[in-house]
Amino acid sequence: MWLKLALRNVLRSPRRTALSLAIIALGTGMLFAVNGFVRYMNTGLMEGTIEQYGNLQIADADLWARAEDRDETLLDSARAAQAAAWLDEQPEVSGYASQLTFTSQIQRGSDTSLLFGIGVDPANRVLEGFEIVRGEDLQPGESGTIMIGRLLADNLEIVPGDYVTLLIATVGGSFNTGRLRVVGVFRAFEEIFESQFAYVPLTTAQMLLNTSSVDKIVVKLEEVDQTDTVAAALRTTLADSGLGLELRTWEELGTEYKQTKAMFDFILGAVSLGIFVLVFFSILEVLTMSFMERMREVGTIRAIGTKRKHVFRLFLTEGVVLGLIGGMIGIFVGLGLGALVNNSGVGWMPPGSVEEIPMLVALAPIGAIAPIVVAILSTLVSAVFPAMHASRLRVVDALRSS
Amino acid sequence: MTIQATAGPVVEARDLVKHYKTGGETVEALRGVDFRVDSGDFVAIHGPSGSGKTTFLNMVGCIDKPTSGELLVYGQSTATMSEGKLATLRRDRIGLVFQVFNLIPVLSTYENIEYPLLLQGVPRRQRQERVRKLIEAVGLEKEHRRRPDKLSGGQRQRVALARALITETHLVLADEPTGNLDTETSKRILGIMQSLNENRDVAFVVVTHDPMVGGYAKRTLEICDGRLSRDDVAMPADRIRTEAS
Repeated sequence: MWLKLALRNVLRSPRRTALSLAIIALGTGMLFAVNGFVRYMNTGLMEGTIEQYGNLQIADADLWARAEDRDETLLDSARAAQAAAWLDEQPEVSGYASQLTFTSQIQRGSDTSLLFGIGVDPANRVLEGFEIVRGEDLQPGESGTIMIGRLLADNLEIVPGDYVTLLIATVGGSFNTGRLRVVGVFRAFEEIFESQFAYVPLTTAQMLLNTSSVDKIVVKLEEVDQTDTVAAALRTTLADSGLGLELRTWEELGTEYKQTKAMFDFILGAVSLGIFVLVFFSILEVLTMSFMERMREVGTIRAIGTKRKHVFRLFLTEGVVLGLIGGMIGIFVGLGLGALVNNSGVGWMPPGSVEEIPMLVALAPIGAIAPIVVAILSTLVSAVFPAMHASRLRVVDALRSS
Repeated sequence: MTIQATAGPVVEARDLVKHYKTGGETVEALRGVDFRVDSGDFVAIHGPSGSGKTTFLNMVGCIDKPTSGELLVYGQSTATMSEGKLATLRRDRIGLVFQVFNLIPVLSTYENIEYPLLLQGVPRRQRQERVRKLIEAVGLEKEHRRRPDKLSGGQRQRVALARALITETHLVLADEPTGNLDTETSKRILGIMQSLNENRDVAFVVVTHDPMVGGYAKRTLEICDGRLSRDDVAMPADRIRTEAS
């Protein structure tokens, strides 16, 4: 009964209702579009971070504690083999690979630059966080080769086929050099990755560092949302083993991801709050006017036995009905706005990225939940004040009003 | 829920006083009214404007509280009742009819009459049966789907009367029920009221300026300056008889 009555009350003043619905729908639509953009960005950031770090990494606890002695942070073949055995037991693990990272100077002619090297097994590449733009990828079985980032290649004017020299300290602290052939140039999402990173075969990295060890095992899972479950299981195993191994997830490793996601979430929160306030005040005014016009009617229904709580519920239901209808219309408005943005070809440059990317809005149905909740909540809260007034009216006063 | 007629008085007011403040001044609207309505009574209350008629009706209808005095409705004292209990009392045992009809504009004739039954939680089939019978009784079969703005004044007042009676109450309070109606329509409404009064034992208390109402009433009261100044019992031969009754 209350729903039917609320719905009819909402529709009794078509012009006012149309205005209210327009405000709610516009707010909801904007929120849906902004939410879609943020979700698109966060998903992209997440995928990029996982491509860079893997879902999980296992290493000696001292690696992330930045111990002075590099030798102590490495995983010898026994510890690496044990970690691999545990990973083989996890059905969620789709692949894993050892890495050996190093810091060096890259030199070509008289030009030098800082270089962060990553030794990988070309035959077992679990991460694909780059795209080759010149030359080719590292080949299994080859040694003495290197693949560098595009900005680094441009800065040092390096092309595939050129030779570069790496100046490096071994794990024992001795000075070492290596002459490597550039086989490929890659592009990546982040500027720092293109300007300072390079891939070499794992055997080459081990030769340069004069070690047979690796420093981490990068793990890829079938699904992203398996990360926490697998991490929890492996952490228990690692702690029980007493081998001094530690595990980190992609979220713990990707500090840039966390910062950028926090920024986007803040923007989304601010937009949501703004729209909440806008809808709240607009609908408060509309519902208050509606209440003022219906005081005698409120007096009548109270006089014939309607209880205060029912009058309160009636006004709240009117608010929710407005919010729900407006919110649903707003989703269609948001779909239109999103489609407009997606087809506009407008691009933007995310912080730290190399080149402009298209501005896109994710238009998945799940993105509609939060905007509709905001619409309903704001109209519900707007309705509380007039609903309280209506339910607290003295019947005799309400009946006297004109 | 069927309300049984009570053996005792339907309404009993003892030394009812009502003061209220308006513009900083205290108005003594009722100055000690003693009053009793029995089952089957038809009481017309007359009096000049501002004499306290409507205030008195509001007290009896439990939509306003007296400053002092005692009011018993169906033998229950209303003085200590909570707002919720008063609402239940109004819903179940008191029918109200207003001068300007006070129908719910978004509901049809049928729905307006049905509304009190919905508040009572009466099952759908019972509601349909009772509303249908009452619609027939007040002659609104053709108008049952119309909303109030599509009805004439007389039709609206018949809807209001049906709404007041749908809970099978034995007490209907009417404030100027013919105030906005022409003579012929007034006669029809009063005829229906008289019929219900005589055939179903429904007690009517009608506040009015309309001298015609007195012709249908069994008792005529006059309120002047917040006091009951006259209480006349009409002889049956003096009362207007209608075809309906």
